[in-house]
Amino acid sequence: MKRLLIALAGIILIAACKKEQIKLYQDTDPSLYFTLTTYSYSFMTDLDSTSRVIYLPVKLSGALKDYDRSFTMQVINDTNTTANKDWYELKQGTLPKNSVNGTIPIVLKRNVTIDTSIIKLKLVLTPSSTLDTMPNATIQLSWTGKIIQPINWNWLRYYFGTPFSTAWYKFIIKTTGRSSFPYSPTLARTDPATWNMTQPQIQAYTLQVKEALQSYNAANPDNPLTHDDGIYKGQLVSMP
Amino acid sequence: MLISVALLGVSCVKDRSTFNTRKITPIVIDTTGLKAQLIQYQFDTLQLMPKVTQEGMDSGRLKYQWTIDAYGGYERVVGTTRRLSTAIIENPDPTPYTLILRVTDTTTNLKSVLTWSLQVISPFGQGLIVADTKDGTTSDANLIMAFNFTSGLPTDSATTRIFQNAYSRANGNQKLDGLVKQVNYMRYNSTKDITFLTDHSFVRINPNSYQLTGKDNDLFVLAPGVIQPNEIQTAIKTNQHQYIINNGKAYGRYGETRQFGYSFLAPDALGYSCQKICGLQDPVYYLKTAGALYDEKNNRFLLLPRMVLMSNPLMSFSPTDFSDPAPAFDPNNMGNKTCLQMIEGYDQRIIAIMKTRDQDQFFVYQIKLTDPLNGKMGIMANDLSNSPEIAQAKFYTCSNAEQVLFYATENHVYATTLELGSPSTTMLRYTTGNGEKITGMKMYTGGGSMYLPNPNAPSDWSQRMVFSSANRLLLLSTYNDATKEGKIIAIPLEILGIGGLVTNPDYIRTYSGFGKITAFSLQSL
Repeated sequence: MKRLLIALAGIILIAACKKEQIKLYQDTDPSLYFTLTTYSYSFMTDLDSTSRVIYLPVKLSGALKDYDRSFTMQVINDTNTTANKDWYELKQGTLPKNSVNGTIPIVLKRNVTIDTSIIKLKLVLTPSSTLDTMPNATIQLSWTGKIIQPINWNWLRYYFGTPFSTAWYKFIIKTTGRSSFPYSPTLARTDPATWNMTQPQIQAYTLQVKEALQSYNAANPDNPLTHDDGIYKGQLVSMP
Repeated sequence: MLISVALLGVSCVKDRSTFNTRKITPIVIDTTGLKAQLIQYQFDTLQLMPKVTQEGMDSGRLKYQWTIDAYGGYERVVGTTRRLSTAIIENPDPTPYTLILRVTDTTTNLKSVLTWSLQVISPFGQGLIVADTKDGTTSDANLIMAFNFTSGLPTDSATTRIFQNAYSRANGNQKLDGLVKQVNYMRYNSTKDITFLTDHSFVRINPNSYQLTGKDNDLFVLAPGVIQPNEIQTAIKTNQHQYIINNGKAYGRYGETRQFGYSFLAPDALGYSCQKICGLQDPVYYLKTAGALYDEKNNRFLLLPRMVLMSNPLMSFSPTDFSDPAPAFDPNNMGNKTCLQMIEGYDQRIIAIMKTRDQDQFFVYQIKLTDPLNGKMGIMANDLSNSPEIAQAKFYTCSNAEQVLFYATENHVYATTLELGSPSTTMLRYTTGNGEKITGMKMYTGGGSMYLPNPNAPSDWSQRMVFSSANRLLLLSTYNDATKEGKIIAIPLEILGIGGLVTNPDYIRTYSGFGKITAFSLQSL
C-alpha cells in the first residue's frame, strides 16, 4: 500500500510538469466606435461657404492591421434627426493601417433653413464583415448657420455697442477672422481657461472692427451697415 | 559542542587586519582672504586661486574641477586647474548660482569640496546703446558706460566700459539680421526693453541681459500683417510711453504694457499715413493730447491721444484761427510737403523739418500745444531753403534748452536759430576729421555728465565745470571708410541760444572701436 501511494504521488508530480498551452486573445471581432457622442458645427466660422466637410473621429477596439480599412455610417431616422437628406452627404471613412484612430467625413450643406435653425442628424457606424461596431456606436450631429448673441455680450457691448444683430456679428466675424471673443471678467473668475481673452486683445479687435466699419460706410455711403434683425432692426450700426 | 569550542577558540585570535591601513592626508582648501559670497557682472572674468594643500603629498596627485550650478539641474564646468579664470556667461538672476570646487586625490580618490554663493548681476546699466555693422548686412549692439552717459561715474578718466558686440555675445553669436536704422529704450518701473528697427524687422531685447525677447508680430496684440518699420520714439521722462510707426500706421503703448495695441485710427474718413511722430517727453496731464504726427497722405498734422488713452483715435487740429495775431501756418493744410523729422524742442514745442516734395525748399515748423486746444497752435515757420548745405543735410536734432536746430551733412554740423518772430541765422559748428563721415546725430537726453570750460578761466582745464549731459551734449557717429572704424563723438553745447558747440578739443570725447554705426540711443536705469 505504501509503495502504491509513493508511485501515485510520483505520477501526479510528473503529470504536474506537463506544458500547458496558454490561450491567446483572438481578435475575431474588431470594433469601431465614435470618440464623441455629440458634434456641433456652426457656419459662423466660415461665413462665405455653402458647404463644409467635417471629419468625425472614430477609434478601434481590436488588433492593428498593416493595411487601410474602410467603413461607413448611416442615418438613424428618429426624433433626433431633422435634417433633410439633401442637406448632407455621407462619405466613406478610413481607418489607416497600423492605427486605432480613424475619421469618417460628412459634407454639411447650408441654405436659408439652416441659416435660421439648428439642424440635427443622428448617425450610427455600419458594421461590416471586416470591422464590427461597438454597441451604440452613434453620434448626435448638429449644425447651423444661425448667429446667436454670445453669452458675454454684456461685456462685448462696451466695445461693439449694445445693439446685437446677425448682420453686425457677421461683419465682426468677417473683419477679425474670429467667431468668438471669450472676454468676460465675470465668467473668467470661475473659468479662466475658457474666458481667456484679455482687455488689450478685445480693445485691439474693437479698433480693427471700428476701422473696417468706417471704411465700409465710406465705401457705401448710400447703404451703410444697419442691423438686419432683432429689436434694433433698421438702425445704423454704431460703436461706442 | 565541538563547533562551539572551535568558535570560542577562533574568537580569541588577535585581530591584525588593520595593520595594513594607511592614514590618508586630508586635502585642505584654504579660503583665507576669499569671500564666501561672490558678486560678479555677467561677461566679466571671475578669477580665484584658493590655496590647496595635502601635507606631505605631491600636488600633482590632485585633480580640480570648478562648476557653476543652479537650481533645476544647471551645471557648467568652468575650470580644471587650481586657478579659476572664466568668463561669466550665466544670465543675471536674483537667485545666486553656486560655484563649486571639487579637489580629488587621483591616487586615493579622496575628495574635498568647497562652495561659494555666486550672484550674477547685469553689467548693462545706464549708458549709450550703439548699433553697428562690420559686414554691411548684419548688425550688433554695443553699450558704452562712461562719464558722459552714466550717472554716478565721478570723472571721465579710466571709467569707460564698452561692451562690444553685447547682442551677439548674449545670443549665441548670432547677429541681428539687416542694418539697424533706429534703436530705442523704454522703461516703466521694472518693465524695460530695447527695440531695434531694421528695414524689415522689429527686434526686442532685455536690457539686463541683451538677450532676444521678441520679434515683429510679438510686439503687437494683433499681428499687423505687414512688418515694415518706419519709426520709434519713447517719452522716457515721466509717464513713460512709446510710439512706433509700422507700414505708415502709428501705434502706442503705455506703462507696463509690453505689446502695442491696434494702430491709432484716423480722425475722419480721409485716413492717414505717417512716417514721423513726436510724443512729448513730459506731456501736461490736463492736455487732451500727448504729441503729434505728420499725415503724409493728407499733408496735415494730427494730434495723438493722451498716453493713457492709446485706444482713442487721432485728432484733427482745431480749424486754424487766422484772426490777429494770426498763427504762422495751418497745421491742417501744409501743402505739398513731406516731413523729414519731428523732434521736441524748446518749451515743449514740436519741431517739424519739412521739404517741398518736388523742390529743394526746406522749412522748420513749430507747434505749441495749448489747453484748451485752439486754432493758433502753428506758432512759427522758418524758411531754411537758403541755409548752407541744407539740401545735403541727413540728420536733424535739437535741445530743449535753446531755440536752435542742428543739421548735419556728411562732414559738417550747422546750428540754425529758431527764435519766435526772427528769421533763422545759421552757423557752421563742427567739421569732421579727415576721411570721417557723419552717419548719425542726436542730442543726448539721458543721464551722465560732461565738462565745460569755466567762463572765468576758459583755458584752465583744472577749473573746468561739470554739467549734466542731458540736452547739452551733441552726439555724432562717424565712420572712416579707410580704417573701417566707427566712432561716437560727444561734443558739449557750451553757449546756449546759438548752438555754440565747444571748440576746445579737450572737452570733446571720442568713443571708438566700432564698425559703421547706424543708430544709437540712451539706455536709462
